[in-house]
Amino acid sequence: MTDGRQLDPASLGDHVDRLYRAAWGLCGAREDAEDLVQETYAKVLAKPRFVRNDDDLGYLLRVLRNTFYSRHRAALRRPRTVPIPEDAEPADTRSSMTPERALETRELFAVIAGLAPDFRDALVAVDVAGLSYGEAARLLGAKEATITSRLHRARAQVARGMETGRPGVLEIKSP
Amino acid sequence: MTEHDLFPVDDDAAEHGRTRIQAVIADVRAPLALRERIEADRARSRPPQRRRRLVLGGSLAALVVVAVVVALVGSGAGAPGPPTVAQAARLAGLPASAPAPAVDPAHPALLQRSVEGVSYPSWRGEFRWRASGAREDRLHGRRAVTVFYAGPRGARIGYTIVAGDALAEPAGGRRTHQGTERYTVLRRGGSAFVTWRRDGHTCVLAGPASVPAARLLALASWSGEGSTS
Repeated sequence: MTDGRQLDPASLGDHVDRLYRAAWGLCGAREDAEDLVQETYAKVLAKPRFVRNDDDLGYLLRVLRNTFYSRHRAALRRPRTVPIPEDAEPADTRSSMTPERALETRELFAVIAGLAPDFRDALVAVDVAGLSYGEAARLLGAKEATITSRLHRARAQVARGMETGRPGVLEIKSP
Repeated sequence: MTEHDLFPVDDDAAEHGRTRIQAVIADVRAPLALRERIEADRARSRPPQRRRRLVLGGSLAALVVVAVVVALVGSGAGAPGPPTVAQAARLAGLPASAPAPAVDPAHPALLQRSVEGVSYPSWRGEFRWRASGAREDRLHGRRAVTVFYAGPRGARIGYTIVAGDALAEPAGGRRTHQGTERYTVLRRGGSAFVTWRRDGHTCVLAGPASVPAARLLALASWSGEGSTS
């Protein structure tokens, strides 16, 4: 017998925005994020899904994250190709953002994606996808205090990264 | 000495990072093309048996749809009349066709969406119900905008504001007062909806059976420290 409740496909679309933001934070590039989100939904919609302890968003984020890491491991096994330079990324003509805002957004997500995985995952879960600390802790399999610490450090690194243009730069304060 | 002692984190930098992230991601929406691809995948994922039944009963189903649409929006030529609160409540059961409106940075208790000056609330902080989508319809020629909210356990409710003069108050139901506001709670099948007026406009908050009437009433009557009154 199946425990839990069945996901309603009709309401899964309500979470597209938050999933897209989370995907961008993981991938660092907008078009990769779109592919990741579409692949995530395709997996979830492939058959009826039953959720026990997660809400819909938590479940979708779990699938998104697992899909991201699976693709990352597969990519490591493939021959490396030369990445497209950041400034050659096609302009998003669909967006209503100003060019300056669009650039800032791209830079922010590149910085987030460049964080160490634990810090990035905590930041994406809470600040980008909007989960609570408890929900993020369940998603990432960590204690809430650990999430809090990682999040705090990740935020500081993002602030530094946006100022210096180098993701993951951490300031060491003198004692 | 702990890792934190070796590499202490600047609290100001952390706060700066947090606010910077919030300011940027508030404007980030999934592209419409991505939504359409997902919707197409969702339509394809429906079981084959259900699709065959739709094809076989196509003409009958079409007649039913036409009858529902006519009943919902009125014939136009016969007795148009104003829409009803019940018709507005049914919009909460339809899918979203637009992204969720963003939180108004100048008024965090409100969303950046309104109907004739009546704004939608942001329940993210107080209740953990987040705006998840929107749609716009015409009820008997009157504009009706519904903002959908997703709850912490995955339920979805719809907050509909109807343009123009307030609709007639429905008969029956339970009436309750909060300050100077009057709320009417009604039931349809196993689910409930709440209706009230803001600035002379009819508002309707409706949801599935899993969202009790008391919750809908608490959400509807939240004043956000006066920002939604």
